[in-house]
Amino acid sequence: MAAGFTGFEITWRKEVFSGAPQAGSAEKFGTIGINFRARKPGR
Amino acid sequence: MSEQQTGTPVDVEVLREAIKEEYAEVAAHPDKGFHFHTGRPLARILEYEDGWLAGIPESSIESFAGTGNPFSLGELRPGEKVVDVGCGAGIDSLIAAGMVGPEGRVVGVDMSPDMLGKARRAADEAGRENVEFRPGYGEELPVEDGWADVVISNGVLNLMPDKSAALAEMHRALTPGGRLQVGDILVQKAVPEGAKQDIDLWTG
Repeated sequence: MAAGFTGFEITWRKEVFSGAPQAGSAEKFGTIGINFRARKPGR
Repeated sequence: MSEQQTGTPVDVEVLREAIKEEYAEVAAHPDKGFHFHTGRPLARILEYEDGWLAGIPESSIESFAGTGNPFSLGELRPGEKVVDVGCGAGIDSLIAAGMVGPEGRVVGVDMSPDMLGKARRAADEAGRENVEFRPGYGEELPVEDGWADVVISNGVLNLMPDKSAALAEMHRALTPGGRLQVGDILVQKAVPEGAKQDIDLWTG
């Protein structure tokens, strides 16, 4: 991962745009919500 | 910051203005209906715990527009210092303020004056004195080097034209050993180069 982080991990993926009031580009590009974490080295 | 300076396929100032306009609408008219969910229904989709929202004014919750759940990556500890990048109307900053307690401190940063206004009023209403909101961009965080134990962000990194600069700023703001806990989006299909120049696709 960029910027010197370590331990990058995506922990969760979910379709978070489906059923939204307005149509957007999410379905077209397969866009999903994610959670990720990483750590700055040094301790 | 121009397109040439960042290497992004859009004019940065034009993009920022478009995003400000979009989120001014989310601040002023959260029930209008957007291409994303908002408010408490979104919090349920993103698996926020009811207890986290206790004591947070509805004015903040109604304009919630995140895409993930930074707190699912680990609760924040009492006394910790937190930066919330792209804090919007302040829901995550206020949740964080509750988790870190009176000995902790939270700085929420956002480029939208409308959202910052809502966040500040919500913090006053909630009586949370350990949180403050500062204007700024993710690529230029108004936080001193190494200040934060944790940087959180939710649905904002994808809107930043220079993601490398934003991640570098998050790294700079963190103390050694500090944690990055982020909700964002993942695009699973290739986006054509032409589409990357379409401001409407950045905001919608």
